[in-house]
Amino acid sequence: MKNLVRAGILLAVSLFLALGFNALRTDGIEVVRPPADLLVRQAGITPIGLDTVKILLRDKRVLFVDARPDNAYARGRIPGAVNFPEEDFDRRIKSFKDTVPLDRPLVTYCSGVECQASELLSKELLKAGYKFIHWYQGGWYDWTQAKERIEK
Amino acid sequence: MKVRNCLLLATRLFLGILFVYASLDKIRFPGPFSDTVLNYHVLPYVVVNLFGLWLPFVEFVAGAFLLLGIWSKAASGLILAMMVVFLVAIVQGVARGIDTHCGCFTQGGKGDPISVWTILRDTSFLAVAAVGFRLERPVPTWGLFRA
Repeated sequence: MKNLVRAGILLAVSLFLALGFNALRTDGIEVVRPPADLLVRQAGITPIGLDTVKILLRDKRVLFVDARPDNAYARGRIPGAVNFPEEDFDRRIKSFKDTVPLDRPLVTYCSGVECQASELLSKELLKAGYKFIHWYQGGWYDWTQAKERIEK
Repeated sequence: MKVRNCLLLATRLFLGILFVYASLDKIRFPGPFSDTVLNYHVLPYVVVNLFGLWLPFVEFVAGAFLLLGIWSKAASGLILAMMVVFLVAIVQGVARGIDTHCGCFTQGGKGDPISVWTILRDTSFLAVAAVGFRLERPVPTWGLFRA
């Protein structure tokens, strides 16, 4: 019993330190996580839905970036999308920047609302200097559910 | 020094250093760590940041108390509980095919993706934590070398 109380005290001390440290630091985060679309808006990324995606797909200046792993990309993708798995960002960003100018509009997507790869990739691309990033949160699931055209 | 005490000392050193080390990058980068927590798809969205802030300090405090030999049974229990939570999170992540980094020691997508290897590694850590918890005495044993 005594050790349970002590464990509770350690948890309470940890919580106090965590919240105090977070409040004092300049790069602290929100204790309650804001909605995902608000987070990306704050980061300078535009969340878009299926209708906007279809409009942007007709514009050849817009590049679709598939943030899923290579094997998922190979099984099917939004037409014209290039593969850029988020976990390979460090390895691939140089060649990506060599071929894609910083002012080219991008649309990122991954498996669907459950995945985070496209959100993380969008933030990394923003940091890398890309200016016009659109984030398709519905992603591959939303696209295929709508029975839109795919490329293999 | 008895074998039991040597073993206890070894588990305290190993787990204490491991948990303090594991906490540092998470404390330094709370945003990316919270993103990783979110990627596991285990916790409700609104509590992800609180968990991402809190967990690293639980790791740090428990690891430090274990190294110092203060309230070591309680600290050891917390470490054992954390290892169980980590293992459950990773196993469900691998089973569901979730594509995420472990977030165990490094943040910002710089670590290894979760895999069977991560499960085996954490299972071995869990075994060490269980042995350490079993060997800990229920009374305070002040100081690392007074196991």
